[in-house]
Amino acid sequence: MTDPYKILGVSRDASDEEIKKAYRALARKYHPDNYAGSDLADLAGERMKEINEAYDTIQKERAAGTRGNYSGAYGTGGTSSANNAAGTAASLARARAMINAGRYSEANILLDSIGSSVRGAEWNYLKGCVLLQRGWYYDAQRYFEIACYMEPGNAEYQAALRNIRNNAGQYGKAYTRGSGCDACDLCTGLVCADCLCECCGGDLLRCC
Amino acid sequence: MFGYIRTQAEELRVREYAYYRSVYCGLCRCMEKTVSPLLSATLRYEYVLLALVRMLIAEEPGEITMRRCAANPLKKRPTMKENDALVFSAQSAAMLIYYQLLDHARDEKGLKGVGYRLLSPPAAMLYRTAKRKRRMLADAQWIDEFEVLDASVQKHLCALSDAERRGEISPDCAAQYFGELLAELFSCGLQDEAQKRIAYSIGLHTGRFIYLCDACDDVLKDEKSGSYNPFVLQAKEEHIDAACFMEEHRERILNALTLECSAAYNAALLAKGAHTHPAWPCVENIFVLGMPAVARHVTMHPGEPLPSGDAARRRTDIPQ
Repeated sequence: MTDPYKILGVSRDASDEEIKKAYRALARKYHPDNYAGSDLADLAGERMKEINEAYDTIQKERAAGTRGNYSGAYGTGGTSSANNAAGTAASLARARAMINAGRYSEANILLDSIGSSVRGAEWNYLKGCVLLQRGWYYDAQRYFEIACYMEPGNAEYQAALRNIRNNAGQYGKAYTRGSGCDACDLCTGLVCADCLCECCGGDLLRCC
Repeated sequence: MFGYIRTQAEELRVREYAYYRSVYCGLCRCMEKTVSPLLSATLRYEYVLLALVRMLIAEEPGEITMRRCAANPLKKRPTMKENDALVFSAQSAAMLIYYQLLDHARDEKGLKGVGYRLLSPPAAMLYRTAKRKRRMLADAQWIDEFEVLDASVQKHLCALSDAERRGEISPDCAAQYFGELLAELFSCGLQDEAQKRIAYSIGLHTGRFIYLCDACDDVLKDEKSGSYNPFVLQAKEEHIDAACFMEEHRERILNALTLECSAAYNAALLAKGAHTHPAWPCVENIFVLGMPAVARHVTMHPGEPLPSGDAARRRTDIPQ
């Protein structure tokens, strides 16, 4: 097996805290949620397993210290079980079942066979799901937007659109170099929180 | 269709930037040595990314030496020694430039078309030289597959012009052709199954990003000239003009472009030992900062030149 320290990208004399930080940073990057629906999901799973094993090994090696803190690996992301809507048309229900089963290309053929005059909100939503999986983000958004427009109150369609926008909005935000939040940031944060509490008559930190 | 792959050099550490420059200089030198000095005049950052990705995936850190070059004979610069990834990238550049030129010569009318047609014979000569030298590289594992790729590049470019001629309205569908072209290029000749899939995915999303950026950037120009552009067709379908369309759907396009970057980044992350490889900070910088910045620019100001600077040209003095 390769050197667990190398996998985590830390030196052998790194402190437990540094190791935990490196592990968390990596686990966040390779989290199954980042690869949901991607055809590289299995590789991400392997990488995640590698990181977990490396972390475990190091923890075992350093058995004296922080073993108790390790509360298991990050689990697999919850896949949306959108099976509730029965669908008025039988083929839409079938397409939905296919999408849930991961048979996207079959679902796409089925969806395309539905005449354009009867394509309602759900059709647009399902088409968007198929395209999203394929990585066609522009078209996916377009179909989701049409679905939301046709049926404004539907939470599922809105969630799909919101999700894609959030993913794009969040990308790159975590790009930090060197130290992130250190003890100083924590203290400053606490002092600020205390000031805010005091403004409203409360008190967070007795001492200041 | 080039110029959309950038770094944000000011966000790189000095040694990381030196590494990036060394790949750039190494690739330029490699183009001179293994193809022709003419080719190095066409060096673009896209090919640097290709070389970086190939080195990252092959777990090849590369070796850096200090060298002078013809363009700047007074100062020694960090230069990467010739390696498999650089040779591959140089060969790819020779091939893509030739086929793209042919493609333009066929499609463009008027003065521009004449220009492209005039340039075709020298490009063909350049590519013949590249091909001849390629056959002499007996030890590279990608040679056989590269010959196949040669044919399929033409196939992809033809499929793309067919889609343009029939007026494909979906930007994603049009982008897919170019994406698949780059995907096959990035993954060409990799033996390991996982490596191949990772490279394929990086290439796919990079190619799609380049195509969509290009379409978005040219939207106003193409509306005026009547050339094919999927976003112009989208605007027509909604019965609005292109400027209005961009105003209204800026967020949708920007999201799509950003998610392409994100997908490419997530794929690169999966390369074995990625975050300990010296090329990683450069690759990360390109996917996380450089490309999204380009995406913001082309969606906000389509048609305006990208801020020339990339700061790369200004930060030339690197401590040894």
